[in-house]
Amino acid sequence: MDVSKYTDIFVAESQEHLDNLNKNLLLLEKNPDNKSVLNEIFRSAHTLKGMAATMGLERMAELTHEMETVLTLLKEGKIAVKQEIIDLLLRCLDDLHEMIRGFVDEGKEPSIAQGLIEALHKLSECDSDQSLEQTESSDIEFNEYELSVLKASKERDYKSYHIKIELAEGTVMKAARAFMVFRCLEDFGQIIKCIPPVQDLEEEKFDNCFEIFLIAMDDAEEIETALNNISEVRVASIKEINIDKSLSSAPAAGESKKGDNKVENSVISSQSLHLKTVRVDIDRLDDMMNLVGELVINKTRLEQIASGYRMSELEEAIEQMGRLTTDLQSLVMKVRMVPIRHVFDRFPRMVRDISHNLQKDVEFVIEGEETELDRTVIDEIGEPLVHLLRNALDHGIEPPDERAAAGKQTTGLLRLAARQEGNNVIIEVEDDGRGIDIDEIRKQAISKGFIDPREGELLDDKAVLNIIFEQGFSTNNTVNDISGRGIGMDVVKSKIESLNGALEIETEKGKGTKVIINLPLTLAIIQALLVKVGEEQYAIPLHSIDETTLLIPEQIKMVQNHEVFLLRDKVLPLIRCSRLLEVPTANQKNNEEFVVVVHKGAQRLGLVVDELVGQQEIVIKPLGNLLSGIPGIAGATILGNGQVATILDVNSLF
Amino acid sequence: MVNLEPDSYISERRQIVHFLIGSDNYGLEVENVQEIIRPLPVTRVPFAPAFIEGVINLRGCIIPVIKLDDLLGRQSENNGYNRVIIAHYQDITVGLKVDSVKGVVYLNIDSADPILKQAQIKTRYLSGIGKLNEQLILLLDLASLLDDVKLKKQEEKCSIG
Repeated sequence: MDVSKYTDIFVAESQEHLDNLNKNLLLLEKNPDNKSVLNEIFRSAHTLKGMAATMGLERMAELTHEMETVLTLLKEGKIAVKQEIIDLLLRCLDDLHEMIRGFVDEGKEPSIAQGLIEALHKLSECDSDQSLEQTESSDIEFNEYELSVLKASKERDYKSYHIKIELAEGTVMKAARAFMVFRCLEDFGQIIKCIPPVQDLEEEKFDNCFEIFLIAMDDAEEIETALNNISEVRVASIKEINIDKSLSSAPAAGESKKGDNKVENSVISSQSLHLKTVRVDIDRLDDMMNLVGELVINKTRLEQIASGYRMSELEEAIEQMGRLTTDLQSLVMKVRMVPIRHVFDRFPRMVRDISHNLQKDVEFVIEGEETELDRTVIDEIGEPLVHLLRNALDHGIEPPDERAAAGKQTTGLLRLAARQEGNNVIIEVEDDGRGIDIDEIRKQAISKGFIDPREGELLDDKAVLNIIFEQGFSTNNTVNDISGRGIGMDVVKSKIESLNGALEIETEKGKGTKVIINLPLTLAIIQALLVKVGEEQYAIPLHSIDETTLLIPEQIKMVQNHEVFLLRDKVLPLIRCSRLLEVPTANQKNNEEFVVVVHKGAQRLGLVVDELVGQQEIVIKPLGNLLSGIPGIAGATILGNGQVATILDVNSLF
Repeated sequence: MVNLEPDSYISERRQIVHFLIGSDNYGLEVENVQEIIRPLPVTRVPFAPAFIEGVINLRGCIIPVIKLDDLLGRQSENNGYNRVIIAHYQDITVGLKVDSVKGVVYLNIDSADPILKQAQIKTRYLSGIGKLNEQLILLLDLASLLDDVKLKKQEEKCSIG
């Protein structure tokens, strides 16, 4: 069978399962007794095995199979959840991840990392010596309703059976066979529970065996013969169960069970949610976004045309279309939104590994993972966050003894939070570590030549803090493999700025550091001010504009050969766009000129332009592979009249 | 008479778009040509390399236009090109400014190196040479041309920084 067309689905789904496994393994490490988490892990591993086998990935199937063996032992309580086991399983996940990557990149899976299989074997073997056949009935959990039925039936002298059914290999209509089994059993008595649930049986979501709990008057042999009469069906085992035992264990487990039930419910509801969603190729969404972009351009064009004719009917129709376009645009934007969970999910694992590595105790808190961001932003935001978290773990949070000496709790707190504020999303990375020593930065910056000594004295704390964003600056004198090589903060900053976002640091020595990232919800369509320089039109993103004002020649002063402008008694450096952009047909100096005041963080400067055309919604289009990366230009957009205008990258002007 | 080695002398029949820059005949393989358009209004891109004329709006796509005459060191005739060849190679689409397009022809293309070396023509950006009615047509090597454009962009970027 040719399975290549399923590759994309396979990769996407297995990735999902791996993420799921990762998350749940960490959860299990924290609550080793949580059965529902273990079940979820088991389910994911099992599905992964099935998928790998279907795709013909034998090594992957083998590894997942071995993992499953260990998980079964965990599930049956034969081995306890220990850190080594979690570590080993996590390493297996890494390996599986590599396999999938290898499969995608090279079309074949790389071999299993040495020792993994052996380690898994060792785990499962050393424990298989112990009693293999434990009484299994005690493992099965009944809910309250099932228990009450069991109890009632016992009082009326009914017997309860635990029946394991096996279907023959290669049974075609498994659901039909299961149905026949049910029909047959219903003649004897009442089925109170089956594993897996009936729904899964109907959808053939099971291997070749399933288990049933039956209440009946008849003897086991009778039931067994009746079942064995159904073709392709075999009774693997039939046992009478001791209800008292399950009953007695029930109250003890009652408390924790309530919690479990909740988890299970949420699992079930998330499963049913899946049915309401459709997987869509991201390229199609991009196409859709592009088309909506075109529509917006055309709408603007119609508005322009209509303004010349003054026909109220036409204007009404266009107004209506404008509303529809806006609705459509926000809808498409919503469709492209992805919860930031997709990025956050991989961090608990990373934080765990790094903090183990550094031998620091860290409690990692994630908030607002349901906050949604545009897909393109999601793809880009992971890397800077990794840097920030690493920084917090390495430079921020102190080792336990140092924390104790400072009178803090030995466990450090690392908080990653996201929330939406208007049209922006705020992401905060906060630690309660040692904070940033601003004086130390000042000293380092002077000794490394980033600023001269006199400047160092004059700069206020905020400005000094900004130095850590400079390329090549690191306060950590020791370089390790986690951070401190002086790349990092400048990478974070440029990445955030390329996403039209802003970055801010709040820190207090000894108390901790908070990095605040402010990101726009989407990148594709923005509000911009159109300006004219000579004959050329340029767009300036509105979010970086403070105000516009008329340029009054008397208020221009010269400071060290640079023009500055006095705006309400504040000095504003001026940049003449005609000179900066080398506009060939520059203004002949007889018209009035305007100043567009733009900002980046706390810095401000004035751009001198010839004409303010107006505010407009523009669709950002990339300049293409050939021209991308030109400094000063953020992209281009198509105006209502079909002309192209370039978008100024304000950030790069500072 | 130079004895050409058989290995380096390969003749192949190819379909090419035949165009003029100044009085020189050039060709581009049809696989690389998306369409040929009349010039559209060009928007200059500040900070872009000198041989980039600017960008055009081709049905909603923004496409850079290269001054081919500048890049090839030819002088465009009557200073007015009247066609733009929209060409693509891998994931790059560009417009190439040319003086005029003569048509699509089948040519026997000889691999460039030996002949051009013999004729002492600069082989940069050229991948072959063909003969059409006593005229020599130089086949443009779009891949090396675009690679070079990227490279030049990098250089200029460095010189700015």
